[in-house]
Amino acid sequence: MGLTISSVFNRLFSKKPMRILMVGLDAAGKTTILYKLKLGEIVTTIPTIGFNVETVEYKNISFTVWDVGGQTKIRKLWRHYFSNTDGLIFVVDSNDRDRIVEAEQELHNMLSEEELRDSVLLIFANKQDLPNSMSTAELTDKLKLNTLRNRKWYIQATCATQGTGLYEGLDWLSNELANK
Amino acid sequence: MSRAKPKQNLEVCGDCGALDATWASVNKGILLCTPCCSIHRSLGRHISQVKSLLKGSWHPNQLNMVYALNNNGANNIWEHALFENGSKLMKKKPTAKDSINIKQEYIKMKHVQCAFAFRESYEDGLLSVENELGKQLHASVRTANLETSFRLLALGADPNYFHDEKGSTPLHIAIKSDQKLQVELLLVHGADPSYPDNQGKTALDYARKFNNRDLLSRLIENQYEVTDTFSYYLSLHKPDHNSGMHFYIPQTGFKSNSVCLSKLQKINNTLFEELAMDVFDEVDRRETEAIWLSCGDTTDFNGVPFLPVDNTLSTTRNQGRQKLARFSTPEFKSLVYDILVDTQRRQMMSDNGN
Repeated sequence: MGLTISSVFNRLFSKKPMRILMVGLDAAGKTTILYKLKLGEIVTTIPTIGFNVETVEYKNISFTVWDVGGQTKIRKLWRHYFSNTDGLIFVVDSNDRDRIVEAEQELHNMLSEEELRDSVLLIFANKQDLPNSMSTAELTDKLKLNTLRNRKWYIQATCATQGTGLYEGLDWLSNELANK
Repeated sequence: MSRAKPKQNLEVCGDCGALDATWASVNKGILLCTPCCSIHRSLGRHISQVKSLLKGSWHPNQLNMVYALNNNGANNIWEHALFENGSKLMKKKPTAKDSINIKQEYIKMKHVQCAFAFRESYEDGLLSVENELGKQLHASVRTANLETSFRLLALGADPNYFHDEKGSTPLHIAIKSDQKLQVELLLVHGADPSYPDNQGKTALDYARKFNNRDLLSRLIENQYEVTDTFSYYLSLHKPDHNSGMHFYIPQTGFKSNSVCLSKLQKINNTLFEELAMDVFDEVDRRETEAIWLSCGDTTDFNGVPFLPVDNTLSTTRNQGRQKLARFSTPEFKSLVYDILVDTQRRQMMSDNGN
């Protein structure tokens, strides 16, 4: 009997993993976010070579999160991870005013890729705990999010080291992906 | 080993037609210009094995094989659909002047998806198709017709196909017929010299029996390719297989990392083999990268900072493969050294076990 019930539930809530690609400039906090979500704790990270991938279960959705290194010389390789992406997380360091233009350019370059045409975009405005950080409104403007056409997007203020905002972002993602 | 000598004719990039092809894809049988080569490298060795024609180290047979394939139109196999009557695909082929993005899109379609490749339609079941291709390959490696064998392999012929009636594999036949380039071709596509025929003899046994030293040494080098590459990477030295010594472990300059070695000793043979393959790919990446950076014309194009994703492998394995790039040169060499030491130990254990 137990088996019968679980199979019914499996059919109701299929756990097809959602493929999430997380990118952003180097030192934005991508790897920290990934392991905060996965382990619930802060791990010491070093600049990512290649990628880290973890499966994160949240609200009965299984997210396979790919965290891809953001150093300048390896950004061109992001495109190799694009295929079959359901959702895109773009992480920005809200405190890094010097490189916000660079972040804006990388974001828009990437969104022009055909393979990412159907994926939804979540922006984590990370490092909100730092005193000089830009607000989500300011970042919306600087990242020119209002110029995006035919794209569902959402910007969420986060602080990876405290864990604030991360699950709110996943909430939005899970709602969007459930409606797809 | 000899440095490649540029030949006069047909030094044309197979993907964009540029006239200054200085690289070659060994498994695709075509020459490449620097920009197209940068794209091939980014796809990974499992798609295209590139080597520098100017600075790579080549066995003469292998080099001759690449030129023979290139000069006999191996590229037509990959671009078959472009030349069909009335095909609109022809304009898809980029020229030397096109941007790197256009070339990249084309190369991915051509070499990853093989979208333009020659396809035959078979009405029979898949099994009989495989058998048919295997039998044709079996017949073709007897001749000097390299391009025919290559076409069959591109169509999916199994390089280790065991012909029931003849009781042997294509490699047995190529060795018996002394077809040096066919042997190279089969080896590049994964033919295994240790497969026995119906009399229990391997291709190696036949090379020995006919006292064909050239082919014998190529087969042995192929069997020990991984460990030879490791030895050469560490010390620019390879073991002298003729004298019966199959492993060369440099005596000076390297020290085992005892923690690492004891971990290596604990993993099972399958896992160890996977690790050795990944480290082999990484050695190849590092060596090609060094050659890449030493060429004057590569500065505008991307290098390959870590192993590209191979979709046939698991995600975790791909993650691990990429992390190998994080090792500094001394750390990486120490890992290679330990793998070499432990390979020898495992080999001796299995020899003693028999």
